[in-house]
Amino acid sequence: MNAIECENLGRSFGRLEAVDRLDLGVPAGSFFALLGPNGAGKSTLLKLLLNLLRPSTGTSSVLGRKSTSLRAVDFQRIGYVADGQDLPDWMTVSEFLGFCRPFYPTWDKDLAARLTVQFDLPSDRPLSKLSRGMRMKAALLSGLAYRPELMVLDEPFGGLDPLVRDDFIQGLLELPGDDRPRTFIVSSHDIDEVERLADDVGFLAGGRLLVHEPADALRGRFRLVEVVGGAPVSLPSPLPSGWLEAKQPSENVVRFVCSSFEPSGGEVQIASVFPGAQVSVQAMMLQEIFLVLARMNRGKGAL
Amino acid sequence: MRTVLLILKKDLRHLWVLAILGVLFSFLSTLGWYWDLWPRSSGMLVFVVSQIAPVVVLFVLSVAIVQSDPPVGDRAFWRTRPISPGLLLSAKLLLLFLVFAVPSLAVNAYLAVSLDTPLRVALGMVIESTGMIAVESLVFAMIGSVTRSMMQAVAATLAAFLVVVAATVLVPLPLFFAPWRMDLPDHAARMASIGLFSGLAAIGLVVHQYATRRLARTLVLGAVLIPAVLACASHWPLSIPMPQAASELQAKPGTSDSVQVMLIPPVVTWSVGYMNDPATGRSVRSHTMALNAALRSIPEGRIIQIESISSAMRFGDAQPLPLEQIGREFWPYWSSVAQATAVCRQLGLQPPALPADAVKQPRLRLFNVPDETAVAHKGEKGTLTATLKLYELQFRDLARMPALSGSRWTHDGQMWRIRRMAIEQGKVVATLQHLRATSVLITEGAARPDSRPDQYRFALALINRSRGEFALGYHSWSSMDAPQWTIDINTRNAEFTEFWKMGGSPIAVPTDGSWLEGAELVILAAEPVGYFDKQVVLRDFEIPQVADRPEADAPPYWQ
Repeated sequence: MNAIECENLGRSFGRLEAVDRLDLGVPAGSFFALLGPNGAGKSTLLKLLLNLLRPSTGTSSVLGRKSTSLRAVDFQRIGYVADGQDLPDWMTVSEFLGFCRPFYPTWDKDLAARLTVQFDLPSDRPLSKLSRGMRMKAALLSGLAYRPELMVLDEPFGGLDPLVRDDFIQGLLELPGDDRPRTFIVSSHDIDEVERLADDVGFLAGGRLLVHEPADALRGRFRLVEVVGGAPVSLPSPLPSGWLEAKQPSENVVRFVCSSFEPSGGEVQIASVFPGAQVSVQAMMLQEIFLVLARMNRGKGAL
Repeated sequence: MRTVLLILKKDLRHLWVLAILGVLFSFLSTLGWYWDLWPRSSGMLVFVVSQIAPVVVLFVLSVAIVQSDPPVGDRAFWRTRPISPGLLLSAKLLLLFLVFAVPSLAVNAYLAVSLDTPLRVALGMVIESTGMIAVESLVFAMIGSVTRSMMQAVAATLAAFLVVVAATVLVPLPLFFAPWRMDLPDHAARMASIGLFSGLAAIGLVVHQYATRRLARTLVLGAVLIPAVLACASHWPLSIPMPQAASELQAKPGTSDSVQVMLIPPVVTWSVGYMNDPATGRSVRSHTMALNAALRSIPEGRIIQIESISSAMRFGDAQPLPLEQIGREFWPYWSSVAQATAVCRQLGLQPPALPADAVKQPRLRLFNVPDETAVAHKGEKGTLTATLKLYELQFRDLARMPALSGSRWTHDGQMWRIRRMAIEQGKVVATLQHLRATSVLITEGAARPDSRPDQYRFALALINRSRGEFALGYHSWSSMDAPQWTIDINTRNAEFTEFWKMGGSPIAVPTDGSWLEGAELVILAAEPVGYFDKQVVLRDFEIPQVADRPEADAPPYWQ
């Protein structure tokens, strides 16, 4: 069963298609990273899911309920933490948690206390006096303490220094299974940070979902290929399907990205195109993969 | 309910300073006058503290309460928490009610009890003041609900104000845009209707915004709804189902037959003035002629006043042509001699011999005819009919109290208190304060809020019965202290310069304070005791033309 479903979901602001007729399903129990550059439409998509914005086209559902029909009680099962979200800044951390607690029948005081210590949050300090990272941690704590089924984090790492960012991610990773929300959706333009968290990734650019698949599968099918020949080598024309960003820095060298690499036999398959040449294949980080995708996307559809 | 209380508690904790200020100003702005807290020497400061500050606090707090959990934008904390818009709005409205309506209700209930106010007037006071503050706070809350910050709310309010001012200047607006006008016959119903409909419009818009969070639609709805409800309320004022006092009018007095309306020379007066042009709604300069008359054969000791005059010309079988009535402020008023005689008659005293008034009374002008109308009917003869609705005023005992500083009298929604009573420079000077419970919902009796001067004319008398002496007082000046809705407070300064024996012979002004210690101050109020009609009919009457006027630039008719 999917925790999130989108069908033909779109939202435009004037002429700008912030989210462009998007189809998406996020399985329950997964950690889905929604990646993409600034202005890709990630925040808009999450806001559409949580009924903070109304769709121009299509529908979406969250935990089985249509987004536009989400009721107050549904938010007892959903956590949402976003960069720039309004918080009652005049409250201290403990006042803030005390204010939130009565709204959730499943609020776990012990978990809240544990997370307060784990996140190193000063209970008696007003939210307005906290650093951006600490404020995000307080918001996250208030979203985790009632053990939501779904946690939505919108750009949680934005503007955080590396230490706090690591602290934040470590906090999420170290949550014991019972304390973790069943499904996580994290949007970020900072791919490195979510690489170690996500088991499912989607790449959004220009409001369109270019890629949506398990992170391991994505990493598995992308390879950076370099072909070095004793004699001049040339790229086949037309390029085989799935070969991207092909370049020839010199007459003996060819480089390209293979987006359809088969772990078993892929290298041999490429070598057969360049007889006598030495083929080296290198795995790619998600960051590198998405840079390729972003460049290729300019003017093109999903890959 | 728990959610409502949690949000209310949260907002109170956040905005407690403003809430306390709101409650404080609710009390001070009204009770400050009643308790006489304001120093008379600091007019501007008092004005700011008692008039401006409460409105500012009302605005800031109403907006802040709403914007602490705003229904606009997609960043509000409550939007992703288990808080329904309905419960959130209920919490906000409940807090507004607690901070503004409850103090207002308490203040007016306290005032009503303090002034020994009749139940129906007290009810009117409470409904009017609480309703008014509720409508104001709802309108401010509505502004808060469609803006994201206090600055935006201030800017939106200023913009709305400028739009109204510009519209008022550029377009001849109908009367509904001037609800502050008190000179309309159905003023109270109009005010109540506008208040009620504005409140409904404001709450409708707030509910719409909370329920849908669609700002553009709310703004469009507001742009349609606000003028519509104001127009509806103005054109179809609600009848106010307030219990009214039993009519104070008695049977027509026997004097009515003897009173005569007589034309007096100069029968026609010309003047240059400004008339309302019905075509444009603007005032235009115009020559007007007026027909002059006077009331004659009024029995001694009686005071006859004019309620209204309706005049019309009929030419042949045509429809009667109505003629414009002159404002009542330019009708003649009674003389001080007539007042003294009437007061003495009421108090059972021998009226002293007084010289006639030196002040020249204005003529009784029956109607105005603009030059354009006169020209249109040049040479036509018709029948002029002027019907005067007259009434007789009588001075009745209202209050009696020892003639000493600090004395007070309270009854029937009114209080008189003597701030100062002293013998100075050959006369007795008194400073009195008159407090009156009032409400626009009351359309009869002393609690009626309008300011028709002859309905609230008071006479003062000092009587020392042990010495068999008395004096009649004259107002030197008066001032309105509290420009409040439901309590009208006036300071009246009076002088007693002539003293008489009860038989009517004059005596010297006392010089020693013991005269006052044995005296009582009697306050008498003029009240209408009966109405009757008189008609003036002129057949074969031809409207004089401007060309016939004797002088090119006759003085205005009020001279």
